[in-house]
Amino acid sequence: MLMIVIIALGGTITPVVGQGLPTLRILVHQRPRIELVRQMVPMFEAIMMQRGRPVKVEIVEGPAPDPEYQTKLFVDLRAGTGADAFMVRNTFLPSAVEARYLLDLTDRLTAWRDWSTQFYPVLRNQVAVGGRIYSVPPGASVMLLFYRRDILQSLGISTAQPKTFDDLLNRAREIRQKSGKFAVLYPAGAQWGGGTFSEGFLLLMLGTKSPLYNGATGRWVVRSPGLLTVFKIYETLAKERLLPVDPLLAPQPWVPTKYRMFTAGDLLITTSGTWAWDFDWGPNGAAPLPGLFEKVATWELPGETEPYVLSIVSWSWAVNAASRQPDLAWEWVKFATSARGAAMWSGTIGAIAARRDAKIYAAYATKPHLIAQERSLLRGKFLHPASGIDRIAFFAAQATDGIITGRMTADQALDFFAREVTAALGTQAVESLPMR
Amino acid sequence: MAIPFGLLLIPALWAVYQSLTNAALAGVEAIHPKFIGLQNYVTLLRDPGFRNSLSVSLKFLIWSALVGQFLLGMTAAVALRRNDLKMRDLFGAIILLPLAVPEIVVAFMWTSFLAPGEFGSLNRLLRFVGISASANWFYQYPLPSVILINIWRGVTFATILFLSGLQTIPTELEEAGAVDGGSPRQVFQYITLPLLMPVIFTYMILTTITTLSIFGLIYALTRGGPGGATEVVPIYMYNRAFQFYQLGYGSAVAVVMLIVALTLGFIYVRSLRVML
Repeated sequence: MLMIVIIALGGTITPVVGQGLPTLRILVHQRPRIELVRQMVPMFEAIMMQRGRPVKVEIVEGPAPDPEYQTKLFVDLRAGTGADAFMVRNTFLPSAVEARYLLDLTDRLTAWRDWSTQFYPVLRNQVAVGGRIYSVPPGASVMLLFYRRDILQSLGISTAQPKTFDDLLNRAREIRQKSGKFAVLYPAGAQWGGGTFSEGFLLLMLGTKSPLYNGATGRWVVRSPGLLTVFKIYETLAKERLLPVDPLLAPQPWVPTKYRMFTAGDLLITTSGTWAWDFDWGPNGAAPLPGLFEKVATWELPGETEPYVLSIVSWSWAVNAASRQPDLAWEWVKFATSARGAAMWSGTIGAIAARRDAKIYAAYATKPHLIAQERSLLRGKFLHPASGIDRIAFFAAQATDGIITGRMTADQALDFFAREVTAALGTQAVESLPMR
Repeated sequence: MAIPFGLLLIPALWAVYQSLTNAALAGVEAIHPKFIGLQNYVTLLRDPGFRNSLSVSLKFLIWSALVGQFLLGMTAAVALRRNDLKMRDLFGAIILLPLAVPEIVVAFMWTSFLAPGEFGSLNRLLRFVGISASANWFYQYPLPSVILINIWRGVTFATILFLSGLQTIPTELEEAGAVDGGSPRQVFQYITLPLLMPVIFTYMILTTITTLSIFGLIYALTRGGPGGATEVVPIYMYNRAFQFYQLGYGSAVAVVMLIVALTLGFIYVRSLRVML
């Protein structure tokens, strides 16, 4: 209770500024990102020194799990102790903007030629909130289905692209029948945090014919045939034991599923972003898989009628609206998303660089599997972040949690989702589509 | 006086005020929270997630503190009081050990012990003695696992408290009961236990309040999962306030918890006064 009160009363505590040189505080989380920023900081300090604006950068390490990092970020910002620059997850952009945590970068970006000439338009759109820009992405990802080509071939199961949801379910049943292994992973449940939405639910939802957000009315669709289809797929996956439910209910469910079961060949298909090639299963990844490119291949995401790819900006750099040195923080953002910065980011995290000219740097040029996906990025579907998207993600996770634990049927999950989102966002922010 | 006022009363009053608003950590409500009266409390009463967390908290309290820690603590205290107990110092040290281990270390230790399949020490031990076990304890028995761990951790406190209470009871009274023909069980039931009642009630008050507010241990073990099976009220409150950013709603949960704890404390104190 005391913690809630301290945060609510916040806004008066000021960050410590070092003696002499101005100190720029940068919040970053997860080991590969922290190590990357550690490499970048001396370069940035040297550049600023050359420009006659010396600066000392202090790296603030955030908690590794994404939900805890996001909480720390918002708690710090609310309490007035936020870092000057930080990474923000795209699904939280609108609510961070509404809370006035982020500096409006639109004018600065307009004046920065790179923004209009080098950054892919599809990504510029993805970080726009109400027509303004508050964050700059160094990279993006294409969401795909990754499958164990070696094992499917040894089982005599087709590795052709499954085009529809039914194709995928039938393929999954065949895997289960022939191998007894878990077939497919679409993240679900509350434990996966925001990933249930961005790596699972959304991948199914955008494959349906129903919109999740109605851009014309500015409302979220909380009841639609497409939503019911998505919940029914989760229900089928859980009931027929095609999905590994137990590990999804544990803390950090990506560890037993993507890191252990997939690499051990006990799970044969999983959703993931292009980051998986490096960040997850690469030689320096969380769970290296030797012979990765021989053993693993990708499919596009099946839909109701045809396959598609989903492009997402997961994280982008933003500046604290209450920063005492917004210009220095903006210089950091420019550096971190420069051609070199984007190349280093993409090379380390396994992202597709957000800018065309990142290829000139070896850090990215040596990742042909990522560069090859740039075309997919450009034609990929995406969900524009709008106000309330964090609540949509939260209740999608809760609804799928109910389904996989057997507490809800697909129909009940749809009722729950519609009821809870409506209660959270208000009736004026939601709408329903006629059910077939 | 100023310190208790500053640290306890003001935050509590602020939480009550905030529970009457839609204050949030993000979104428009972070900047412009509105007064919404008792809306958070109405929502809370209808919220199946909150009802589930209350139920989990109650089971956790009863089985881990009021039954498990109490019985084991009392047994250990009675045993340690006996002069003829062999290796008494070693036994005492073993009993005291859990209190010396930090909460998060306890969580990691037990996570390792109860890990699934061949990764878990318990499964390996069971296999060593010929029992084929590959149980996934935290999935298959989430609440019993957490209760067991809390019993292990809390038994020290119960033992210390009961032992100190037992040592204040004059041995002459128990010896007189024995001389009059009372069996050890009768002596304990009719002489020792009644004299120990004030200590037992003190224990009940303290353990109820501390057990209801346990957060770190369970969060580190299961984060309230799987599927809300170990989501005690403090974790539910944390999730609403800091994962879903509803500070107002989280404050309402905190206020309800405060009322529950105060009510239980009041009942205990009243009962204790009646007994004395």
